[in-house]
Amino acid sequence: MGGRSNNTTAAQQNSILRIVVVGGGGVGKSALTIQFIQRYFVQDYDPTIEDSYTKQCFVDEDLCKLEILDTAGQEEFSTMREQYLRTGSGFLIVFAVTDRNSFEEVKKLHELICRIKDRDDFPIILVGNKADLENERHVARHEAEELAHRLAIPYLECSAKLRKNVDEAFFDIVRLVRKYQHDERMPVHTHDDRKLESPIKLKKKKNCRIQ
Amino acid sequence: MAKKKKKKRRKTITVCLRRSMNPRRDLQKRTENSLLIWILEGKGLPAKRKYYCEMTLDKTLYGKTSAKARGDNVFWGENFEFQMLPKIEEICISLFRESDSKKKKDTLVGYVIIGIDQLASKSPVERCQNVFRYFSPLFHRLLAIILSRLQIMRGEYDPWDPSSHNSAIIPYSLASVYPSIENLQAEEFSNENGRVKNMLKTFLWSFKLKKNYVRVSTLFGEYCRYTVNNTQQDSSASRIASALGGKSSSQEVQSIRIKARWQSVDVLPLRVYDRLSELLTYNYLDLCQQLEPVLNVRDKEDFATSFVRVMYKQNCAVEYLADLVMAEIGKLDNDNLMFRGNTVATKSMESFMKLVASDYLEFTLRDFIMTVVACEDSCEVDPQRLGNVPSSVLDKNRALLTRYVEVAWTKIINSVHMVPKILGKVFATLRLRLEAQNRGEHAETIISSSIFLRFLCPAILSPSLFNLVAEFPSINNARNLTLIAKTLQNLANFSKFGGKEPHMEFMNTFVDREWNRMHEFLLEISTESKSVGPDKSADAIVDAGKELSLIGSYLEEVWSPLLQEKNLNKPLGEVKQVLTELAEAKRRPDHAIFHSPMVQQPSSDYENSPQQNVVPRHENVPAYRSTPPTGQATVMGRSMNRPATHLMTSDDYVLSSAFQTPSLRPARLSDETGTSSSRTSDKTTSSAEIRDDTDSDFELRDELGRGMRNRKRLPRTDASPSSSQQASSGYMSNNPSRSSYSNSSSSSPVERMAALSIANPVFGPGPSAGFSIPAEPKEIVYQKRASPPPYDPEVHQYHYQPMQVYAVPPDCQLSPRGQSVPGIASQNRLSLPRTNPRASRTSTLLRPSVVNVPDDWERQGDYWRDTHQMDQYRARDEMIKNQAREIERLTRENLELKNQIMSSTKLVDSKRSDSGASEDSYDSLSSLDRPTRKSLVVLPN
Repeated sequence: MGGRSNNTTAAQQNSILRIVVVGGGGVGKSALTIQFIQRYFVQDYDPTIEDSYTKQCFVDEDLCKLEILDTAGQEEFSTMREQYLRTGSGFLIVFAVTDRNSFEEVKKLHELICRIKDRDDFPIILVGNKADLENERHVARHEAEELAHRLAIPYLECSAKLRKNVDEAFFDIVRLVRKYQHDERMPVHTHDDRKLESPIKLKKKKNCRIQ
Repeated sequence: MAKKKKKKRRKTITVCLRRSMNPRRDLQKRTENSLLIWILEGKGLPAKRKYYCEMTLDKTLYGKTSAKARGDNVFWGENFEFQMLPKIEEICISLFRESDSKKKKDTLVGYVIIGIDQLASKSPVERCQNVFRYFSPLFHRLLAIILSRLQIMRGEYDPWDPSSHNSAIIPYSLASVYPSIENLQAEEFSNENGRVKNMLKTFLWSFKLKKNYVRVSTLFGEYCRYTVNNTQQDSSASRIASALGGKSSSQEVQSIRIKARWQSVDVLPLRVYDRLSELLTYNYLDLCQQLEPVLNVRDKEDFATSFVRVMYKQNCAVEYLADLVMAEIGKLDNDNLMFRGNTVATKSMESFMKLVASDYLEFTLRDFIMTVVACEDSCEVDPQRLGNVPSSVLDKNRALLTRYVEVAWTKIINSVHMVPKILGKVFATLRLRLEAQNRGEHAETIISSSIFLRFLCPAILSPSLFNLVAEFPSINNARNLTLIAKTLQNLANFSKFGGKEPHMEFMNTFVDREWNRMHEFLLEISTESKSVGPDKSADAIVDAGKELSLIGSYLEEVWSPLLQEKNLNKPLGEVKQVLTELAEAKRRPDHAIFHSPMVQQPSSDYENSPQQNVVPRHENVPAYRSTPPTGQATVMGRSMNRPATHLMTSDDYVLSSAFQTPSLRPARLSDETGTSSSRTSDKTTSSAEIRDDTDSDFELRDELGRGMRNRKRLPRTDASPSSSQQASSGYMSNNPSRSSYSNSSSSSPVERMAALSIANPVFGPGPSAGFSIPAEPKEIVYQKRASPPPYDPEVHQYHYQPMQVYAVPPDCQLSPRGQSVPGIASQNRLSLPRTNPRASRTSTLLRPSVVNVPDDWERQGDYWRDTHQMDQYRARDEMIKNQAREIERLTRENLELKNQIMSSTKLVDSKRSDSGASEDSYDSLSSLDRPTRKSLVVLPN
């Protein structure tokens, strides 16, 4: 993965990060995941029920073990969603820029994650897939950015087909998760206390979000 | 399993019963309440034994989750759906921890109370509920301080010392707290000391401490918190603080995550929806396409569900689905994406399958799922998940998985004959249409993604959602089910494993082998001649009125002027007008115009319920007898459209609300049998509340059964006369109030602190300025239902008396119990129900009786009784007098009217003229309860 071997000392870096890929049906969650893991583009559109992959890679020179869960877009599987959402440490919410419907679902998914995690913010990245199909686009970039801004999460436009921004999406989420876990671990106090104590930290976090 | 089946059968029976009990359901205005609730997970609970939740709706136990041990959290993920509920005020979810030995009781850890108004939205509300009632942080803080002060002050008493609370509960009154408040010169409040003190005086009424709970009555209602009774060495202060959610405790706040939706749908008489229904039937495709972009994602599913149900009822579900799906296929540029998204078409298909094919699903998969869930063996085949295990384990797991998949697949193939005919018809239509478009190759994709991707595989994956099992499968089982579903889905996709997950490749032999049979299966279920499945699923019971009402409300929400403009001069242009008409109809209090002489009856199916507020108009038979055949109404014309809303009228008909004018509310009417619902008194709209004792109980008995085990363990203070229902009545305090002083009887969670202190007289009107006892009239009278819901055959004689009605001669006043009460007496009886609508369900002559039935439980409210009893008595006396006057007047009037009518000779039953024979025969069923109903029926001549 291009990172050079570096003796990572902190045990936390070695722990497995669970990245969950969610989004509407047929938006290319599997294509994105497989492109990231196995570096090829799957042509077929077979619906996924639940696939998991593992990968080790270096992000910012630290080794991380990723467990990536590729999920079903169909809502029929929603209780399952409950279960894996609870265990995820970071999320990619994927929609297809060619599918208005899938974009509409983003907010719902974001809300669901926040509820289940019982947090207002959590490592989540909004991913607009199929960016290569520019002439079939139904969701303008600025719309997506606006939504991302509103949800206070970063937005990335990807193309699983062209392998554009694929690694970036996964690496960014890893960074976010690390940052988040770091922040969680640091102050032993509750959120309120932290806010009072370290506005700097909060600011930092914000920077990270904007990226 | 048998239980499930029984439940299902019971459900069907219930629906039939409801039908026959109230054949006029669709002719009346009614309110349908339903509750959908998921109890998802518990957080912050100590990892100790297993936890489960019990759900009570207004103190009646309705459901219980399975007991789950804590993993990360305690995850139940169980959903409950209750239809046809009475109006309820609040949901209480009590969290129990199972005891280690069978002898000990399970510990009530805490509970969550959710006011129903918090849930009233179209889409489910989801949130974490802390295991106590919510108050602002400031308030918590204040309480924590007060309570800790109190501890210091009352040092001689240690509430945590088991030896000192044999008396179970040590009541503290505010009086004892007061000094401590006065002494609160605490740093926390230095600058706003006075204000805080006043606030406290106002807020705090009483509180008490027990070993494992704190209870505070405040202005906001009762605050009650059970703490986990973990270790004795905890200092009491910190325990209180943690009980109050204070920060001094390192313990995470205990909470339960709940998702719920309370739906209260006002359903107008079915006829009102005629135009809407017609509009939908002729323009469904256009409508769906126009609404698709504007409908909220959340609403889409519900909208589609309602729509497809209406279509099903109109017998055009096949066309509807085919058209919708075909339109969606036509729209897509990419054939591969067919039927993948969450659109109105896919959602419709999905809920259609759930509607008509649940029998099929059960038949096909239940046994299989049960087997898988019962078996704890893992069939994990991912080496990375397995970790370091000998390869023999992997082989074993692979063999197990293969066997599972084969069994499931065989079951699916073998039950092809069970695929409901109508579903087969939908598939066949789709296939034909696609072939006509030369796109026949897609038929398989569509059919497979309908039945596998959206029905069978989700059912395997989350059987609890499809009612195949009650419990959410354990992690291990869930993984097994996932693997099975994955393999089947791959087969249904006609794709082989590979690329994605290499460890699944061994299943390719299965996929290869069954490939052709999958083709055959898909062909078979989509070939009309071959599908020999049951004609219609017995389950597919659709309440058209409700669904139409829902669609109406969705339309109202999204039908913007823009859409209206777009559709001007098109068929859909009518939408606006239809909506206006509906709104109009809703505003009208009474639907007399719909040919049925009926007084508004808010509660849907409880016509039989003896506690009716108002006896339907047709009880007044003599009046109708002489009605000319053309319609209902000349005689009644005067009051036909607008029944009086108050009693000060000479009108014969009065709206129910007239009986519930505020002045009457505080007192309670009660019937002689003591069975009237005590809930009726406080709300003008209360008739819906009454219903808790009829159908819903019926339907939910199963749920109750689940809770039974536990219930038995709970202490019960009330003497319950009879068996199974009574068990539940432990949870049924009929007192709708949820605030401080109303404790339910026996085993409700609140009961645990039942003995109760109550507000100190000190805080009665007087001593402390700025503090007053809140006047909540509904709190004053406590009444307890003395007898179980009306299963008592004595009380409810639902014997079928076929056609007897037709034989009743016009002038014969047959009462259902065979008593013929001629003359003035009968008139008396006829008119009585109006003034004492909750009067007895037996046909004995009614006396207006207003009896305050005091609670037999150990009320703490002596104080309240003392101060308010006088008022109460006075109010009651007044009420009785009023009633007597009213009865007299009405009797007189009625007699007059009757004489008038009797003079005319032609007797026609206006009701009959528009509802047909079958309904009348139903009538005989439902009328047994009410003597006067009988007279409705008139000889056809």
